[in-house]
Amino acid sequence: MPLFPHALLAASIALGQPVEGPNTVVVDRAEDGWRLLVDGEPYFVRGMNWGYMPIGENYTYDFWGQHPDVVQDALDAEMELLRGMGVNSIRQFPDIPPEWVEYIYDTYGITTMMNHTMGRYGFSVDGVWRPSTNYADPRTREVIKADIIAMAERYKDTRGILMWMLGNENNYGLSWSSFEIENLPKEERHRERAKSLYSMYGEVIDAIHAVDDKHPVGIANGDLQYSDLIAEYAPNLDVMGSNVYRGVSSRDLFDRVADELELPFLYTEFGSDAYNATQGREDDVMQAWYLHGQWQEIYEHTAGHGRADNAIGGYIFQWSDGWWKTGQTENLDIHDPAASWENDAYRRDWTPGENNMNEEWFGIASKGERNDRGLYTVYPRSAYWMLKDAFVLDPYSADMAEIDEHFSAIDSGSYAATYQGLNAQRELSQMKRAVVANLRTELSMWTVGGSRVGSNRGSRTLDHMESFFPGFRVEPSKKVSARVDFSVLGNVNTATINEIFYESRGEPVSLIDAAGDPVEWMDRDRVRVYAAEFHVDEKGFELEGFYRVGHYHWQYEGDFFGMFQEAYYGPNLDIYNGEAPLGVVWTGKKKLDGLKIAAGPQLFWGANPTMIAKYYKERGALEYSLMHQEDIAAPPQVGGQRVIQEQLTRKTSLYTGYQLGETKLEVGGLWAGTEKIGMTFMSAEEVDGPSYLDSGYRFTEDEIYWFDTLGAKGKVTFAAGPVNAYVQGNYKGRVADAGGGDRTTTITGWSLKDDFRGNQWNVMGGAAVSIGQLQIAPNAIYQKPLDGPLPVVGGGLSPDSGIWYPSIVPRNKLISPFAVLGNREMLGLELLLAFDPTPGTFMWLWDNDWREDANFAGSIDIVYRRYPTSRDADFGWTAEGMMFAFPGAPPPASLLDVTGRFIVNPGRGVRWIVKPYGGTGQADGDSQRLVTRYGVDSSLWWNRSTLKGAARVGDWGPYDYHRDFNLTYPLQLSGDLSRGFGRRIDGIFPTKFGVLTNIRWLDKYSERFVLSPNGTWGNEWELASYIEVAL
Amino acid sequence: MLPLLILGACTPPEPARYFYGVDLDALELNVSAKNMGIYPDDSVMFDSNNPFAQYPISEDLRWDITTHPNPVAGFYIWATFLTFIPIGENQFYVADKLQAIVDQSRAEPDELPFLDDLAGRAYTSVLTNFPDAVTYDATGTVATPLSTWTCQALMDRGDPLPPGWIMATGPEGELLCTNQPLEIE
Repeated sequence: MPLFPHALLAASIALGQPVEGPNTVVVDRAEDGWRLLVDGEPYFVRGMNWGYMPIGENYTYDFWGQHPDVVQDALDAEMELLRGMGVNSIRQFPDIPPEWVEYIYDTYGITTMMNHTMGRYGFSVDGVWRPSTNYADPRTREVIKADIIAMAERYKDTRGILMWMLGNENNYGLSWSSFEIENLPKEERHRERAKSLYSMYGEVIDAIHAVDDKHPVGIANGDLQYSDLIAEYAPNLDVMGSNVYRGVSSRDLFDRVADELELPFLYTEFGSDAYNATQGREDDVMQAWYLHGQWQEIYEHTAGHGRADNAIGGYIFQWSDGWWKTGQTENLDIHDPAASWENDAYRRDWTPGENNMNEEWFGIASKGERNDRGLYTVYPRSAYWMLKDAFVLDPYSADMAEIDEHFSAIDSGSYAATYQGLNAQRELSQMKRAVVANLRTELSMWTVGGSRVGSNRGSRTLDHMESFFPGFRVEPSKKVSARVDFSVLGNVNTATINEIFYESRGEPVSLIDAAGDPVEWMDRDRVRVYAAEFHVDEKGFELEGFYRVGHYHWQYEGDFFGMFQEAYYGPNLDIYNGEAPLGVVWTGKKKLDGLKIAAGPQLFWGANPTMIAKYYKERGALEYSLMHQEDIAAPPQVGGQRVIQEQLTRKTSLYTGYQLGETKLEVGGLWAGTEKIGMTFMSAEEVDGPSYLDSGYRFTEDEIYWFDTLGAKGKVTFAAGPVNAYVQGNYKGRVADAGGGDRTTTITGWSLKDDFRGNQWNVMGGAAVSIGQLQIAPNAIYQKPLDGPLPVVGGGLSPDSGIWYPSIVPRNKLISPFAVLGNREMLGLELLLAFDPTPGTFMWLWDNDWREDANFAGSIDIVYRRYPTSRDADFGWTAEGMMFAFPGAPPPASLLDVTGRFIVNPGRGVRWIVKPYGGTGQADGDSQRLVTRYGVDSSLWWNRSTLKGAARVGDWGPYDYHRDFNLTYPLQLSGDLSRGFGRRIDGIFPTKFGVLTNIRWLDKYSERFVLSPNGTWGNEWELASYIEVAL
Repeated sequence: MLPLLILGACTPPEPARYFYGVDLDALELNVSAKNMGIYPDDSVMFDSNNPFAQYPISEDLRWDITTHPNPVAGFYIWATFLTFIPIGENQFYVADKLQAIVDQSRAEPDELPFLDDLAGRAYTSVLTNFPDAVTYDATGTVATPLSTWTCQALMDRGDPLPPGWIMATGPEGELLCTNQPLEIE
């Protein structure tokens, strides 16, 4: 239960703080300089950029939304440390509830500077997310100003509010484009945008003053850029604030503020990272040295010391390390030492031409692992202890000589031993993980049953399974790391209705020995490498190696035709014993920045041993790339994998894109499949007159020529607030196959996309219209193969003429240079409806199911596909793993699919994810039967409990071969109830125990169904209990 | 790749050809490898003259083609099946068709001696690679060992039997070719 108001009252009385009413804060300009007065007393800001974010979280983490007990425990631990250091103020944003502002002030005497970023990272205007805020747009200004005034109204009477702060380096983010802006000469465009920004500052400052006269208003500018515009457009600004990274001394900064703006100055961000980029190690002494010099300078510029006399303090950036800063949505558990920008003001670890600002290491405290409640311990670095000693001195009661003597007596290097001791504690607590990176144990007990169902696994109805995954991580230096995970099998369960799973590789196999006697091979494949990866981060390049560790695609960085395919396969990788991806990616830096080379035996599932090179550059609004892929060899025979290996190939592509205002133009050319030049193929043509064996078709034989290897694609995307649209056209020669499909998100989450195969032309287009929080997005595609599929025509031998008429069967990719599959003729129409009141968490990101922060968000996707023709033959696998081409293909059809996704998120550990679906579908093989199927998947979270369930009617079974051979079940039900420990990672508790069940009813279309005289359905079921423990 | 593109751009494509089936009467043998048609050689699959490597075939087609008057067609169909179903029956009929090609002079005169030798080696391959091979009658139920037919064919050609093989008389007076030790009564 929260402790306030009772403890609040008691603490406030104990600390002698005013119990009622907000503080009165004014900027006082006396003869000897500027001061901030709080309730009449000089107030020197010893501030901190403070936030609470456990390792593994990012900007979507809602600290203030946690249980109040958790919040209070976190605050008590952190504020105590801050108070002990001498910090008297923290910088916060308007998500902190007012009651916690007062709690922090009443309990610890720490004030809060309330900062509205004023659209710095985008803003929602009339339900539409604008990632790049246009400060010239009247509606945008109106909406943002209203939000700021609402903030002021909300907090103005809150005890502990020190002042208002607007923006966060907004002058560095002025990137919107408009007709007016583009008409100006290039060098004037940014300044014109800045005028809009600062004029808006001026308006907002006046508006805040009109509603609140007790707190001054400042801006958090990026250094002193556009100080002239600040003076001109924000004449009523009370405090000049800046994020400044000028190294140990800001040189003329204070004087310029005094001269040009006649204002007090407050650092809103400053400090140093604690990572030495030159030496590749943590360097808290270096950080302390910078902060020592920076604070001494602040002290010297406070009122009454004869310098600028306008320094009123500052907010150090930042309290604890931000592990999420690099990449922001990935590697959140890695303390990345990568430096992301170069700053020659930080000379102690600067090398010309190299980055030295390590974004994840700016904390003056390092961060430990979180516990079950999401709380963690911090370990203050040298800067903390140094400033604890420095802050003892009140600048307003010391003269310059005393300031100088005070700081001279503090040796920033003398606190290293203190931090080393603390750091040793932290590392000791993690020492096991430094060696054993992963230890997962899965134990389960299974039972099965059923009726009118054939056996698939033998006679056991009760069995158990043990599976272990030990993993090890080695990090000889911050620049090199490697990890390998193993799979070790105990008993392999045979009492299950789903016979393909990762551990099934270890099932006993019956063999015949040389004497002809049966023998059981019990211990096969008990230990294998489950996954492995390594990473080398050198100054000139980065090298990553991977085995069964997924990688992203390159389609957002110049791979217009999708050559480098994404390699995240989810559970299918384990189910089908995939060996992919396997390879390395080399990324150039500095002079080789923009060059990437990937190579390996199987860079993505089904790839031949290949090398892919890409050179990609962005130059302002222009981007361009050149790519080449070269298959090196035929693939080795890999047992157990069910993958269609392509013929050896090579591809080259050129791409360019240009952002013209709100419109993006993209065009690319492809050259692929030259190795197929000269290969013969057959084409079919429907005729009314004489035909081949009276089939109604005439056939021709032709060869692949050079123009069959060429392809081109053009795309135009228009984004203008509530209306976004795109149009795209493709032409690809018969063998000009691109990559594995379009994996980008164009505007919104449409399902209908370009199939990257050759032998087609297509046009597509869509628009997304936002009306409030609802998005209506129609989309359409028409595609047609250059050469259609081959029909099935029976052949024979004419004894009279001696002519042999071969059967005509659909092509397949192993013996034909091309085949019509996903590029079959199609008219596709789609209507996507989406409701998302918090567009900051983008609905179409891969992790949105557990990151979505709206109370309710959802989408409905209706897709109609009309296939007027059949297609060529796809591949299937026998139960023994032998690949074969189907002798036919599904017929022409019209298909309708409706899928929904709804997230109910009332907060506090409760979340419900529901995905209903329904529609018609065709098998992947040659079955002619059309399937009508519908169902729902549901996952309900309640703190540490999870209830998952699914119901499917008339749908295919869980494996690919069910869809290959059109094996459906009248009804399938599944349920899984579990209780987890620790925290969810990607929505799942690694440690949990639970029970699960699967039940299927069978009919004549189902696998293993035993037909009964009266035609009654069969059924099969399984029930299991399990425990999974993971480190 | 660029020279290829330029060369391709300068070379006009051949027009597509209508497909009217394969005239087996006109099929000619292409001597493509020294062991063509002899297990485990698969050169017939890459022989552009072999229509059965280019179009779908069925098991029954072997028997349809084998009665075709042009033994070249028979050779190709049996040799094709031999590459992916390596059994004695397929090897035997490869040999049989090669012999027919020689007997009917269905090749260039200067190729006939080579083909004659190839036929002998094909027969020998039945005995050395598939010693227990059988063939079935039209009902598919009555099996006849191919060893005797093969030995007879070799003897008719005047070729020696492979080491260990002899032609003997069975208990009912029938001829038997075997490589098994015999009981001498």
